[in-house]
Amino acid sequence: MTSFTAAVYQNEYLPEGGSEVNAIVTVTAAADGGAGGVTVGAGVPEAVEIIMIDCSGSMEQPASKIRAARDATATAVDCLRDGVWFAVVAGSNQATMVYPATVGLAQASPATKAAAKAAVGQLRAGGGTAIGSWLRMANSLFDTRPQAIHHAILLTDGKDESERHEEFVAALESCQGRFQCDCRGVGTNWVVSELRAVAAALLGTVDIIPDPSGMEADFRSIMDSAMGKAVASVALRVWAPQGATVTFVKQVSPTIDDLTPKATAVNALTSDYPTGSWGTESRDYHVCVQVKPAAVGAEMLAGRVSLMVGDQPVSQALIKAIWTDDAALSTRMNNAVAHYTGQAELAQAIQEGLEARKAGDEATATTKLGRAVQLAAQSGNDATTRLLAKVVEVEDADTGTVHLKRTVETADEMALDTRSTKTTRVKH
Amino acid sequence: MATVSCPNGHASTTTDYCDQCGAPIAPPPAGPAPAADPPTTGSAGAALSCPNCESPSTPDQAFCEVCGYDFVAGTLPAAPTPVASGAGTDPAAAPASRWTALVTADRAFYDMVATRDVAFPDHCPPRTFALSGDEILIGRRSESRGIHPQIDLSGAPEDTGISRSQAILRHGADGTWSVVDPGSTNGVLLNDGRDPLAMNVPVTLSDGDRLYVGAWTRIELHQVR
Repeated sequence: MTSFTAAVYQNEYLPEGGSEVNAIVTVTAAADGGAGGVTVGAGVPEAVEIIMIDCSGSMEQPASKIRAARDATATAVDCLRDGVWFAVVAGSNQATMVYPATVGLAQASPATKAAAKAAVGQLRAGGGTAIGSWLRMANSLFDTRPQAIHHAILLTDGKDESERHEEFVAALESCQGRFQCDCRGVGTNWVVSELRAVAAALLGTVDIIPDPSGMEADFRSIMDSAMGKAVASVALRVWAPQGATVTFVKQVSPTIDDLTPKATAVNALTSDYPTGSWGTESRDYHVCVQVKPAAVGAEMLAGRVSLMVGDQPVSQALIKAIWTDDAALSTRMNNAVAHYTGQAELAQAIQEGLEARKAGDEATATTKLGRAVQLAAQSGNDATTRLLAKVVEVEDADTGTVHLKRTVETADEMALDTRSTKTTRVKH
Repeated sequence: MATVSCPNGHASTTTDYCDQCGAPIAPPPAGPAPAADPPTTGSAGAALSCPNCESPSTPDQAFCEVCGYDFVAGTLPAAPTPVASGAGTDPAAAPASRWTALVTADRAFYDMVATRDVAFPDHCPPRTFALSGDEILIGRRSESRGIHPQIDLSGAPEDTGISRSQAILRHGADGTWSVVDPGSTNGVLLNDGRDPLAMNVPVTLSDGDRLYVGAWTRIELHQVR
């Protein structure tokens, strides 16, 4: 059983004429013995897990890649909770069933897991890479168990080159909202923006596995998290008053994920933003609303954020606006809002800096990555600071003075890019 | 669905703020003015100290941590539940009353629990919390898990037998309070009962009821009329 709570962190005071209201909404899902709020979901939820493994020809170069993929997939199969529906799909120019042998799902048991591992052990590499076709196969498999929690792992080592880009985009669109997909790129020949597009559309994570030997541990941790999901399809329902506009709704912890384009309207003043399935975890969301300014002393509800499990509201949080002529109140920035605004700028500075570096624009790259070093240091984001230090020489983190390194390992650059959206949690 | 009228004349299905324009919907006057009610102050400027008890506070707090004063509504805790004016008003609505929770260390309870994991505190000044709002979480604050109970028992002396989320007090529409155990580790005992409350089953509370939680914590509920 899971219970949800929501809390708001904001400075509700606005100066005269002020119209932008920012708030951080912390949503916490707790298992038995956890937070208060409405409890949803009893017993073990039905779940479907699909593992998509790149078996294109490049996975043989070196052969350690396909071997590591076989081992990691076997480990992931081992992590399946008995009773979970699952399938293993091999991806090349097309998707091929590995286990079960025909298109369909198997239910995890010691016998099916052993059979699946035997089939995985026979995986051979050959052919191209058409990620869209893999996703379409996964989607049709999930369709056979529509009520279950749907999760997939996608592993690739290369660029999506065996299908037209439109086919890839269309596949992503058809899968959106149907399942969650954690994406992993092994080696350095895959394209960060492609996997980031998949992960963003399918509410999953994206990361680099620089060396094939890291695959098994990574798959284990993905599966641990996937098997811990207890509630499918939670949405943030955001109401804003007449005349107001929701500027954005972003997940800001554990990673930055802009949910604004995924909004579906409930009525003229209310939209739902999907957050996928939940285990025992806590996430932060940044909600920004533009309201019509009111007179000094007036108070307005600028947003009502309800957590929806299906059609059931399980918790809600209120975002307020109060206009004041006391500058001491209205100029104080809430530290949670300030922190995550900085983390979002950090991610953007890294992505733009790396982009400029690739394009040969060293001046812009130096400025952007320098700003990133400064923001990472200020916010105590040590993981990102370490990744940045592999791409730039840091002269002074406080002022953001850096030099671009002449030679940078491709894997380091890709790691910095993929992990740029990982944020540190605010200390309230 | 019943609606209330907001200050701008909209019919709203939500009773706290208008579901059209977001304007606050004031609770209707509760008969003869309760003597203890302070004047409703403007919200601006009231954020750094509680207008009721002058305890320090921060702008992101909705309630005073000491007396429970509601900074947003500018009211003392547990004013009568806002009732829609006009249609749906219950003439027999509960009289204005507020509730407090008195937290103390209880030796007899500690001896009954007979745990070695938690020591009985040798100094434990009584703590009083005013009950306000619709739902109050009793527990111990956890920054890492984002749990911020309104009745936060993580201050010294800390009873570590209490779960992060130990119990929830709910304010019913009829003005009563009930307690529910959301699934705490060590359960909640009510009065002289020796069996913990069933999880997720609310139990209505009466004036003077005692909750026992953790290893030595007694929480007495009092209705102040």
